[in-house]
Amino acid sequence: MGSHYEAPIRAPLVTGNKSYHQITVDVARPIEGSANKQWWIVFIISLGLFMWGIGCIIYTISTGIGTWGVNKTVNWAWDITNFVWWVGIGHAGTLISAVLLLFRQKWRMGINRSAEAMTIFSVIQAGLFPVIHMGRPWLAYWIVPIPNTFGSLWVNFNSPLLWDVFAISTYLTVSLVFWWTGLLPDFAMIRDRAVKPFQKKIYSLISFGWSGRAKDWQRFEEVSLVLAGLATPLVLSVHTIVSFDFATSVIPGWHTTIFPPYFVAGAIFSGFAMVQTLLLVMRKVCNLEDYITLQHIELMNIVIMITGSIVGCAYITELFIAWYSGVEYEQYAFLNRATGPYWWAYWAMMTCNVFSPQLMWFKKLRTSITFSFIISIVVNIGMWFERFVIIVTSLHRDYLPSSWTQFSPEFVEIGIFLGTIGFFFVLFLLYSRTFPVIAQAEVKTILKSSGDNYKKLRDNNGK
Amino acid sequence: MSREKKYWKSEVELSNSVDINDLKHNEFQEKLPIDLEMSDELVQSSTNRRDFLKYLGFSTSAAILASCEGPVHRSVPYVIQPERIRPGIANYYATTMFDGYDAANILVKTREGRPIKIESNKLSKYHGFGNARVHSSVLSMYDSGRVQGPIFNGEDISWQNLDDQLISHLKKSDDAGKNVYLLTNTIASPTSKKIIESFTKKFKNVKHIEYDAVSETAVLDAHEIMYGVRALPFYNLDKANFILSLEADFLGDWMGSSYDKDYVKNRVPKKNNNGKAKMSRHIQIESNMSITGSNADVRIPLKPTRQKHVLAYIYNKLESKSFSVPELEDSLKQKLDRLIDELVSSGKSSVVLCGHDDIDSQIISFRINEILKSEVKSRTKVSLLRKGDDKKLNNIFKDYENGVLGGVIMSGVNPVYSLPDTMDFKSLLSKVDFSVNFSMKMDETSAESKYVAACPHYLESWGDFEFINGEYSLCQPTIKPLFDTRQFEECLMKWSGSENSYYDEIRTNWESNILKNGIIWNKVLHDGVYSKDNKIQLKPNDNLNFTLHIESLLSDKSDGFELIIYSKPGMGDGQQANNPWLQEFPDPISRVSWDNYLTVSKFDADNIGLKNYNESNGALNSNYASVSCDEIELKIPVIIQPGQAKGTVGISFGYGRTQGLKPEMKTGQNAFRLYNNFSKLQFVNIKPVYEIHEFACVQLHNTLMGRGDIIKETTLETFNTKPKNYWNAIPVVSKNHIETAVNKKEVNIWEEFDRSIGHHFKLSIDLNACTGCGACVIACHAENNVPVVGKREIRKSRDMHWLRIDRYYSSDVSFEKDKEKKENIDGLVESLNVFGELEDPNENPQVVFQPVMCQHCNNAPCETVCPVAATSHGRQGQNHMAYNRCVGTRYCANNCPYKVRRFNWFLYSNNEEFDFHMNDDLGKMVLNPDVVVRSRGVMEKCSFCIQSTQAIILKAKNEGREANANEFNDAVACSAACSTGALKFGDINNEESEVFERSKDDRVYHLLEYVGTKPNVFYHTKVRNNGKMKKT
Amino acid sequence: MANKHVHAIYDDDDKLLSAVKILKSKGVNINDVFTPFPVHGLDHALDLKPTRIAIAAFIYGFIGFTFAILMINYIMIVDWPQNIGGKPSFTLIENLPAFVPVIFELTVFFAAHLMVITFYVRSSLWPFKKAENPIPETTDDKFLIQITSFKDQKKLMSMIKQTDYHNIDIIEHQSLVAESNKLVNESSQVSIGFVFHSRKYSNGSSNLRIQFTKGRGSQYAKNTGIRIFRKYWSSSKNKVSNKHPEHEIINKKLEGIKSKIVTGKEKFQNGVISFKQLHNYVLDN
Repeated sequence: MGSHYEAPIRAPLVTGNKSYHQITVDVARPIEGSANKQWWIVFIISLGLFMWGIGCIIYTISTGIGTWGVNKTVNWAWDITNFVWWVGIGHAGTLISAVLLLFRQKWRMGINRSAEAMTIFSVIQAGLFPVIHMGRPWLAYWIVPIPNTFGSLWVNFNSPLLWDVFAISTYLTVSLVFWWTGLLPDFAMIRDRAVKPFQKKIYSLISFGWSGRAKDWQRFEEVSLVLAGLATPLVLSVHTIVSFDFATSVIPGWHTTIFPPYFVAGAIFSGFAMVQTLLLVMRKVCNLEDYITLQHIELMNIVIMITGSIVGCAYITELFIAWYSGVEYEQYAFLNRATGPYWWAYWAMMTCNVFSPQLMWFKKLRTSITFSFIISIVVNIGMWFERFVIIVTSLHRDYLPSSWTQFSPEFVEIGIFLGTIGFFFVLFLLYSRTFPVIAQAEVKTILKSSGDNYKKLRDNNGK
Repeated sequence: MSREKKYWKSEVELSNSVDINDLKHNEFQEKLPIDLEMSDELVQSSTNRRDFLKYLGFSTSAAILASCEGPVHRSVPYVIQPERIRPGIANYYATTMFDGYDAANILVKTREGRPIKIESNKLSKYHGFGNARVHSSVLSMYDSGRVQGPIFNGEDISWQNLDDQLISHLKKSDDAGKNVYLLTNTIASPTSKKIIESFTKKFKNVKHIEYDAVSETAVLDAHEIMYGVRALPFYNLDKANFILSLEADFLGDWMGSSYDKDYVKNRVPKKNNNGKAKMSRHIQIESNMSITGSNADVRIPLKPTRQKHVLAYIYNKLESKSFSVPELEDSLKQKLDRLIDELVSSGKSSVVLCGHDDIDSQIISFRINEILKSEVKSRTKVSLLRKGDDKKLNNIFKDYENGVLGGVIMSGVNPVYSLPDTMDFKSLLSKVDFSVNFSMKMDETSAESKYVAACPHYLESWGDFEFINGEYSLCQPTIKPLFDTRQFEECLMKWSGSENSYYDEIRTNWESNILKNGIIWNKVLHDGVYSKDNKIQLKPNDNLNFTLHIESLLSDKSDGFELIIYSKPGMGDGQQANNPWLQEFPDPISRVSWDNYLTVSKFDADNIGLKNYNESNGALNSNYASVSCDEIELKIPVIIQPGQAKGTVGISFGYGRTQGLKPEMKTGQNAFRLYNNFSKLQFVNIKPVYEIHEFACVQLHNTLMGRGDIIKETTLETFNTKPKNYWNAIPVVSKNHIETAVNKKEVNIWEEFDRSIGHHFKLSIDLNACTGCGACVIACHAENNVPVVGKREIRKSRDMHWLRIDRYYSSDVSFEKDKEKKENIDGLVESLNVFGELEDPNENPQVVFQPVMCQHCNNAPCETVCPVAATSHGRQGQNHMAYNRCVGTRYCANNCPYKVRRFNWFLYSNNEEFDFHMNDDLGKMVLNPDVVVRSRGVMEKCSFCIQSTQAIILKAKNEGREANANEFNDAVACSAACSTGALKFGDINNEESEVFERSKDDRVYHLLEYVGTKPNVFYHTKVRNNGKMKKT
Repeated sequence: MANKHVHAIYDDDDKLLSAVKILKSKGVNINDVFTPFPVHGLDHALDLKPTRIAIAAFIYGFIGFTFAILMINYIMIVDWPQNIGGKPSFTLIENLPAFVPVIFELTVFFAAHLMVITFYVRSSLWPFKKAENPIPETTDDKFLIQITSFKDQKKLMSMIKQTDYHNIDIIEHQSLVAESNKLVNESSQVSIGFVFHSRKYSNGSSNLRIQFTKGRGSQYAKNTGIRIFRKYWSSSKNKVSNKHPEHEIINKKLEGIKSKIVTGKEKFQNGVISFKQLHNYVLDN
């Protein structure tokens, strides 16, 4: 047992005198049991939203982008706002599972599975927008470098949008295999417990016949480590590249060198907030309080607070640089953000992203579940506004005052946004009923070091 | 012998029972359940199941075969290949447009026999360039709402019938001793005049009246009184060094044609060898903000009645007479005194132009010019563009009341629409015995007249004109008449019993009377113009009693608001109201399309309670004003117009048409209703009406926000005295802590592409020469098949204009002041306030026009960001746009600093939602076959008319030569259409080309140079002549 | 004796680890170890060779990197160099800054995916792959040491007994096969078959037992009380051959048992009796 020593002062990450078997049982419960009423209610609502979204998308594609509110000056609005928002949310998953793995943060194990799931689902949402925002989405495949009917007509590797294509697709697929590989032992566990033949078939199919040999585990851990090593720069690169969409342009308010770090911080910020939102619900519904403890929540809150502060600094820096640059267009762009027609969006962003997370300095607040829940939602609203502010307020008043105009959305783009939210929750709810929502194999490894019962044991032995 | 085997089907058979045999023969015990209606013969019919299946099979396959037939594209080949029509090669014909309002000698570009574009006729001395309306006129020919044949009481009849019936009508009314009126627009055609004379000779009771919708009677009369010739004065503005204009919109539609070409000749400062430049000085005193006023060096907004006082004041000074002129404010007095000094000092080369619709002020202005011995006012030439005499119109009504009115024959007029409410022509028409309207449209008048004689568009007709004495021009058909139409003159000839065609008439008339011997008709027809010096000597009548006129001038009292009815460069008198190009053409001043409105000063608007405001998507809204004059009331939306003189308002003619146009085109309010006794000046009362009106305005922000490097400006003084760097400095960047000009090579982080080989096209835009008339905008539409998107879309800021003319107001008294104001900002709070202020235009702002199209940057931001490389740079400097490759991410449009890229938000052709010319087969005939009609979801923008530059290069190639220096000058539609030469296009690699010479000019600057986009379009700093006096 | 598997089952990772160490020290040839989660130090204890998958990943990454550069160079520089925004498309180097992001992404893409594929292939993981852990608990909370090759079973047993084991299974090869066959067709079915006890009496005869198996789950074997030489047993007919002197009696007895098995199975499936009761029901003698 000495091999499992952990400082007694560290709070246990697994509570409720769990044994290995209990962990198994707890994780398998939501899958083996049947869905309760609330689940169905939420599911039906999300499905409804999803359908509505699909309707709006069909309308857009069949009629034209003109069905949106965008115009000759503000050519992007909700579409790209949503795209960046969803991609940003996606980042938390990879960050938790990859970066925290590299830093050997054990508390990640309680949450990484769901965080990664969230990543994949939100990146799917994000991926929708670049396609449907095209004037001719049926030609979307032209953005991949394939030889085509027009002779040697290739894509343009100078374009940040093309970088996006590569970044997003790499990110999605890599996090998918990362996630799935981690799922294999847990699927195997479900498979071996399964009683219903069909269920057993399915799980033995998706568990790829995992048997848990010593050699498999050795490779498994190596692969996870290397994947983490690859995913870490990847996750940073993805939002960096997304930020290039703006940073490499010439529009005042977009053309800003601070964007890459600023966007990445923002992404982690919003991502953690979303994880927080989802887990706070899930630990209740699937009663996983023993695995997603108050400590987890607190740690998450701290990350939110820190990234929130980074984002805040970024905002201030932007303003400072704008003033310091002495470029009148730059200066006006930011003056206009804060005081122009879209001042409300700017200040909504400021309140939600900069001021509200600062309350996390109070332990009382950051350990309060309701408060964390509220903040987590507020933060995501704020981050949506951040992207809206960057895109719309920069565009609507750029260089030539003759082209200045404003933007207001049509029901179609609002519908599409709601649709993606619906789609996201549909996926997540299905996941929570059919997937092991906690990486039980990993949690078992830390049971002895961070399980409360073992800790007590050790304390009594005076070890 | 072999025993044949026997098989039993069952052992019953063996036991050979009886019933088994018949059982064998009909295997079904009871009858099949055949429906009752199935008659026996059907049952016994030869058609058995197999046949049925055969038929079924056959019919099915037949049906399938039938449905396999592909769409049929009918293409009719020439039976006889016509002369000189080669597919793909354009033919040009010289002709002349005159519709009673616009006059221009033009070339018509035809492709495969279709006229598709209007070009300028360089051979013409005075009217060689068309304005926006002239350029649009080609689309009016392809108007799907045209009358397609003669109509009687709404039924189609044959021309034969119409002739017979009319001749009988004419005879009848002659016998009944009733008068028949021939109501036409101004007849500027010598031949038509002859024809009408012979017609009136034949039918004694026919009286001919010329009538102009927008009347110039006052000027004509004044000119007659002063010079004894009933014609419009003609001015040689190219001789003018000092122009004082009162209410005269001579760059717009003042007296029938724009003087912009001559005016600009002296407005572009050219440095002579001693480094000093000269340019004329222009002072405009007016009530509405006109494009003339916005081009003036000094603009003084003033009520029309006050203007008359000013006129009197000036006259006083010059004649050193002493009338008791009502007190003028001191500030105004001082200004005027200075102006008068200048006026006198520039003597012969100064001129006073007057746009007031009353004889007195006209005579006084003539007189002043005489006192000044102005050479600008021509003594040998008069303009014959307007001859209408409103007073005569009353005769019709008199005769009508006296019951001696037989009938009315109308041509080129629309009195039911264009007469004020006080003259009820409608009921008159309903009462007369017969009425004929020669018209292309089922317009307001046609709807009321018994006979509608469908007449052809001018591009389908013959004609001849004399716009200025001695300046003749011909009009020839460029296409076979599309419909069963006949020209007015043709009919008159028929009715007066002549057998000739109008063409013969014109030709004989010209060969006998006009052409000097030795001049061949065909040559003239080819040129389209012919000038001959039949000079007249205008003798001013000096012993008129000017005192009387002055007194009546001063007697003019103002009550209520002074309304000046004006005409827009877009819609004019409203003849082409059904032309989508003109409807969507934004007004150069207000930038509002699809509407007319009441222009009112901020001051008055606040007092009355009229407002403009923007919706959440930026679109412009206003409330209504009810404008009442006597009993007539007009409910009209409001535009708060900077520069509008306090106490005055303006409404434009040409809107509020109700008949003969598509529903989308029924826009605005009819200002003619208020056009009492044909005076543009009316006294009205204004009340606010609290209903929302939705405008379609393409420019929602009016000021420049002190951004000095978008429009570079300087005064003539600085221009002459200070070095270039002072008034046109190139922005610098710090390179290794050394400030280096951005256009220096070492600033560029990349190795440049070699642009010295082959052609490299550039476009030069001179802000001094651009009057903002907007002819280029329409020319661009015609050349590049730019779609019309309609009011709803314009409101959403989705206009498709490839070329737009930005108009900026200064927020302080001048743009210079704005700049200073911005630069002296100190601290955050102040910056907030100042930028707030800068958003509102001044009450009498400086105005500047800036044509903006794709700048074809060498380092184009749009190209880099396109993921599919749909837009990349050409070898000849153009920024290409491959529509077929575009997937429509719109990133390029976002990243364009000039916001010139236009996205096809919807399918604009063949779409019921956009029922404009691209939605019907007739309208589509105007499309330029060299330019693709863009599909939905692709980006589009100015292409530097690459189709024509390529055509020119190809032509040169075929002829085995190099394209010569100025061959490209008119390649792009905009520069070809520009009468003032503000836009010049050409090959910069050819040192003889004009554009090369212009690129060496000191005034050259690039739009947003500091961004480093290296545009191929360059602008020329605007120089204002502040004269000796400081800015007012 | 290669047709025998010894499964030493443990219920704790530490116990497992020590056991492995002990057995290894005793020179037992551990064929494989199945655990529900990675037990740290196990690979050393089993002295497994360190995996080279990381190196593979590096190579894959390098391949991706080269591929990216070659592709971009061909597309942007060789095949159709365009003037895009004035960026120099003369050589790859001049234009390279714009290509860095894609090159990076492709490197990661190749490294990650090819590595994972390699992992799946080497550890033979793919859909429709049959799981190989002998008892299902090894994915839950049991740790299993599989020993397939040993000389002396007793010695081995004694060794294992020294460790803190939870349970030991010795599985006959044929029954293994039989069992696994059953597994496939009737997953959670109860299966009942005849097997011989592994132990032999001195005269070489051995006890005929009945083995009850429920799904992949618990197994239970019970003596029938019949003791015969294996040579008389025909596993195909599940009866004693006629050569046996008292074959009538035995077969009669077997018939009885068989019928009981049939009825018992039914009872069990109808849920009348539990798995345990089934044992007694079949052999209530």
